[in-house]
Amino acid sequence: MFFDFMIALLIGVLAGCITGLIPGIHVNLISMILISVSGYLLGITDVVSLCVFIIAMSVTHTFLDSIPSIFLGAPDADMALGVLPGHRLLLEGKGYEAVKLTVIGSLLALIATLLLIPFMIPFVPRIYSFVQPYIGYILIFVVAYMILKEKKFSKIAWSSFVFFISGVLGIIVLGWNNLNQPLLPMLSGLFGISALVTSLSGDTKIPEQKITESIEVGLFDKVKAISAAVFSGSLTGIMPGLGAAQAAIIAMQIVGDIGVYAFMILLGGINTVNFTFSLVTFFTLGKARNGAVVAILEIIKEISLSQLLVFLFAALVAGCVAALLALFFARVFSNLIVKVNYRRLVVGIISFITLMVFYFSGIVGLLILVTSTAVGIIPGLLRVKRSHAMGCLLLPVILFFVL
Amino acid sequence: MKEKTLLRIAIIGALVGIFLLYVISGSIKLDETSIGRIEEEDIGNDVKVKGMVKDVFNSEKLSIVTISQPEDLKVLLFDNVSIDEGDYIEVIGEVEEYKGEREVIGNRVRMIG
Repeated sequence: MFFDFMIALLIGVLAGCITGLIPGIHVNLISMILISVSGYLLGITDVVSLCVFIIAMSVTHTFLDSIPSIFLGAPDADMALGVLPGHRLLLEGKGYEAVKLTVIGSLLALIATLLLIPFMIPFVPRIYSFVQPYIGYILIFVVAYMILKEKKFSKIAWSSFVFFISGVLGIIVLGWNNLNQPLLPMLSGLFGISALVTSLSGDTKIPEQKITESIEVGLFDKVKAISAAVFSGSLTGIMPGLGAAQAAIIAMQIVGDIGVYAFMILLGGINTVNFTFSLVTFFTLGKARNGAVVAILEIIKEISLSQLLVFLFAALVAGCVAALLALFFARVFSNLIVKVNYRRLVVGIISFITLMVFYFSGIVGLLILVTSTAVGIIPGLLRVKRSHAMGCLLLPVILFFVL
Repeated sequence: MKEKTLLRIAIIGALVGIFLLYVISGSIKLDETSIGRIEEEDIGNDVKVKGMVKDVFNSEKLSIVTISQPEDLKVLLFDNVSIDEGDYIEVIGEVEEYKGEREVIGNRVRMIG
């Protein structure tokens, strides 16, 4: 069994590298493919090892998905808010450092979550039944707080406009029938391509990337970032309809201004915690909160405490290995990215994303990409926070709970 | 945080995790059970049994395989399987009771001879 687990873990980590580094290839896609061939695979291995593969892949993904977000401007939902600060750091020659910050967040938040889980397990059903009826209203409060923080009336008005227009876009896109990978064009347009297109307007050149220890984050800010990541990541890991993207918004309101570096640590931690805690939700409530756990649910209807421990220890090992791999790949990307002309690189990335969108989502995907890019450019021009464009995910969830 | 510190945390975490996985994997390893030893309290639990295939019935969505040890046990598989009488197989599945008889809902079947 141990040997089976280790093989499954290593293959899962490799799969997670692929899903994490390539925009558009998501953990859910691989998980669903796995389900379709699980009958055959169960002749070779056991159900727990298959689940270990999915978990290792998912955890690794959460460590590596910052790399395309920072270096290519192509985020998934978890890292959407990290594109702009990550890109800024890239343009300061600190792309590697930006990835390192997210890795610090992911690893420390993972370890903190694993240490806290034994104490949190008894409370999960109670938290769920207490919070669940009010989750829509909690999100409305968070959004209102986020918008009113802009202070000036004109900025509040424009922030509301950005929130609602992206919210309407999200409702349309997520409600579209038979659309593959709807998040890819929407989030790439809102947070990725819009930022890249804006950067093309200046005479931008990616400077030499420094592999140094130049970034220091104060202990207090680190603790704040990790604590907020554990809190919001685990809360959204319990609640239906909420993911790492919503957790990031909640966490941002809790911690306030912690600076760009601690914010990258926070973002790195959230998606790792969100996934890890969804395993606890599966154990205590029998409910799946993301595509990977849905796949696990297909393979194994419920899990015992020993199996939960296997999954959590596998997450720890996968996370630690993924941390090392993320730093390795970040070095590779740092060395490669300066060898190309920035304008050509951006055009290349935009073309790549466009091709991926067309491959997965067709002409409709391209239309969504263009529209999302247009919406995504607005916050920069109006000088309001780009995070209001998370309305694309928040508004549909709020309406789901409230209506 | 210095990169060396991050590397140390990652390496120690990985080693601790591997050790814990090794320890816990022993407790969830399924030992082989003989058919005669499957009791009422095993209903709902997973078991691993080996035996010679005595009979195979394949329908569109279900296969019923009777294995013999020499005691007989019916194994239900929700997939058509290419197993023949006389094959020696290992089955992992959940014990259920149907019309007073114990049977196993197979999750995994492996040919061993």
